[in-house]
Amino acid sequence: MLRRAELRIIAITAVVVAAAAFAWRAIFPSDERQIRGQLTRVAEEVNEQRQGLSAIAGAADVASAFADDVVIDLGEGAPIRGRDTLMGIVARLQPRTSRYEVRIRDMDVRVDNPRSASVDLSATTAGENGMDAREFQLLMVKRNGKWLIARVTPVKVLEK
Amino acid sequence: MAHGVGRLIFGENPRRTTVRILILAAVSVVTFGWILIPVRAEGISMMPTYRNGSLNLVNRLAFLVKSPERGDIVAIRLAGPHAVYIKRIVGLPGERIAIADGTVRINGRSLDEPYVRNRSGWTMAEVQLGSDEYFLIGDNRGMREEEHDFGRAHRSRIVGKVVF
Repeated sequence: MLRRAELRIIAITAVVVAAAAFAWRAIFPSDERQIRGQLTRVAEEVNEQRQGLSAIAGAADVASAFADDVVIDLGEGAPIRGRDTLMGIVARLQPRTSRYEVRIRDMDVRVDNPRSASVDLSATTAGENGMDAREFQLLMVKRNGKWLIARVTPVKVLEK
Repeated sequence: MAHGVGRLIFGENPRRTTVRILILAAVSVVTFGWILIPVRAEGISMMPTYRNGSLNLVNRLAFLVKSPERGDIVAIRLAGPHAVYIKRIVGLPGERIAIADGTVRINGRSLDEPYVRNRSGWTMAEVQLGSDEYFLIGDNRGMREEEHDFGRAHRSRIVGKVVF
């Protein structure tokens, strides 16, 4: 039988180990957690209501999550090529896009190697015309210690 | 007074009542988290069968022992189970599907679809389904073809059968 003092030591040790593990995860998040956090932040930035200079600052924040040579294919129209082009589009469309709420519903992150990862995600947009749901495949690259979106490709769930 | 209220809620045997509540909560979590998933139909593509905003349940066990059948309304997953399309199966694996002037044709014969109220002149060239592919369309054929997501989906994308 363990004595009361020994039980207390075991309990305290367990709490300290759990706290250390939690702190370790918070201070040094895994690549997967970094990617999830990055993509969630992008969605939050897109949903921010901004106008004027604030809209430009917001567009810069959104664009900073993308690689310089990013290619974004949303399945409609020509693909968006380059971070600068993206930033211009986001700043211009901000008053219109802020009427929509973008939410990431499911995210499947696969870290292929220390410098690249693939993500499958479902994104929904809710606005005046109801809700739309799409699946996208993302290529993420790690540059200067930060995960960036390098390519966005739509996934055809229902093919004709 | 407080004792009376407690007795009214927990009954003669509070311990037994608590166990019952815990079991009920556990069963509810398992049932509505993994087996009967609640989904909300957003959009008009399944009208008039399901209205925009209607709450439905998807039975994930429906196709464990039997394959999906023509006419089944199913949930199709995107990247995961939290955003799904709700569509009706009209084509089965191996069949040839075409749409001519709004009418679905299976292996060259028109499909009788009593659940369709309005038809626009949709047209789609014939496609051959693979051995694990189903063809899915919403019931609202009165809307514009380009605004309606329909087509082939692999069996692995079918989450379950919409039962309510």
